[in-house]
Amino acid sequence: MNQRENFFAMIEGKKPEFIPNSMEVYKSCIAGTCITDSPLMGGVDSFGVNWVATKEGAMPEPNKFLFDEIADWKEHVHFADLDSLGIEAAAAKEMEDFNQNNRNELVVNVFSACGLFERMAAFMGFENALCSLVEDPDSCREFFEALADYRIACHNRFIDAYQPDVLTYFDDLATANGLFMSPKVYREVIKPSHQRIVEAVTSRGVIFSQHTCGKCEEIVGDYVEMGARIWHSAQSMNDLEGIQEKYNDRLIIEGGWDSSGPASYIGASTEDLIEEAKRCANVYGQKGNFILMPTLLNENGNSLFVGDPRLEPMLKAFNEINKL
Amino acid sequence: MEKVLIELQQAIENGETQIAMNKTKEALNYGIRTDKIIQTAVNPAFKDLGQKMFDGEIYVTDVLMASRAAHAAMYVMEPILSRSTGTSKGIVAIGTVAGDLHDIGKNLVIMMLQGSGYTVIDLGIDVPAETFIEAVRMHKPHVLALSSLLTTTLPELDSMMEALVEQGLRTQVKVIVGGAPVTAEYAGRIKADAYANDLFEATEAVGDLMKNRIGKYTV
Repeated sequence: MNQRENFFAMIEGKKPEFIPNSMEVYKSCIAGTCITDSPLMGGVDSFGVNWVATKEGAMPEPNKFLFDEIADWKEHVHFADLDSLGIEAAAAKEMEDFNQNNRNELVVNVFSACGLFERMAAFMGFENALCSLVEDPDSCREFFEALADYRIACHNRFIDAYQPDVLTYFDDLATANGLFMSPKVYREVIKPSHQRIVEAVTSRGVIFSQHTCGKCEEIVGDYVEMGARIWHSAQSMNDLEGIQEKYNDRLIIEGGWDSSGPASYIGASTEDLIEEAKRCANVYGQKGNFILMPTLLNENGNSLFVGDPRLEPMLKAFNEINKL
Repeated sequence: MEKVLIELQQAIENGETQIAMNKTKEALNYGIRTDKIIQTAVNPAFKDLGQKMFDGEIYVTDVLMASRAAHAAMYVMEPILSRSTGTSKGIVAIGTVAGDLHDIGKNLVIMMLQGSGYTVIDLGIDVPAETFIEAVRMHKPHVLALSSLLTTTLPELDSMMEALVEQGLRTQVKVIVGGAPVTAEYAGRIKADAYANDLFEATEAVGDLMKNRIGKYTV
């Protein structure tokens, strides 16, 4: 099986031949979301939020908010005319070297950054956003509904432009120790709009992958119930083995890497990385519902964007022990 | 009289800002001293919240709301606190190290420390070593709290510790470090005094450092 066939064997609940890794299984596409959601290299986004580039990605400029009260969102939030953003041209450029042969080999994965909660925090700051969920849930719900409409429109554009197999939607809702908000608050305030976003993607025949870092295991069941087939960045502070056991072929765990451990330290040796990749393969890879996602950082930033000489030997060693 | 302190503690734990303000005023009207209000209602509220957070019973939203309620209580007491001397539990200077723009964890720790009665000097984000050094000289904090949220900025913690030694300030201030990539082992390696994994640990660790006590989070 090639990467694509192996991936779809996993999705279809059949036995894959090998444990894939996120760096080799996907053609990852980011140009669309850089236009509609968060500029990778920093700058002002389509909502007027200024993003600053850091070594590990762009983030909203700290302490600079568009508004403080969620009840005021309509005065400050203006959704861009999607026709004016050049999504299709950017997608065409990103895919210009990707031909039909490539499509037969790899899985096309379109990223959609800055989900419902992250966008709210980008507008009004993290503390204000979290308190708003409790203090003014009605305004939050109204805001999320409007934002979901926008995101669905963006996703439809992405799907038309890229013809992807997977759409990975990013929304961080947890710290390393637990969720930002209770599952009850998530379910009552965020989930209804989140669900619409998931359904709009899956109704187009595209696999929905949910990215949430941190310890979010309390709502992983909600993700599955809504139709997510992949949980992306699934970090090791969660009970990954328990989750794999529970959801079996209904959910692919993409992650596993101990991003707080020695393998993610600056200066970690190639041997450290290989050990961690082997640990992931042994602990999570045997059930046929796992994609290794190495989190590899160096002095220049995230290896996904800046490259790293340790990647190649690590993946080579991983591919020697990943057969199932 | 004691009932009002229990109600204040409850209001803080429930994140009820207006009730917390009213109960604080009520307590002051009863003639209860501010230090007793802090020791008997505010601090126990945070202690309970810390345990509940540890047990996974509450979430960051609950802590934020409680912190806002505690701030409201402190706001009511502020005119009295500023007239009296020695009521602050100590001075903490805090900042996110150079190259790191993250402020969420730092701000949560600040809210917690202020709510617990400490004077906090927020040096902000992306703070160069010289600014930390200047702050130690100028404000003479009891504790210097350094935050690093990125593995790429982790070495800045090490550099900061070296800068304190080079400037002859290391013995004048206790240093606590924290942030996602920081571990107790790393804190030990760079010779920090304490390491905290979350805001409650940070508050407890600062309390220990103030009293020169070896606590759970002392390195």
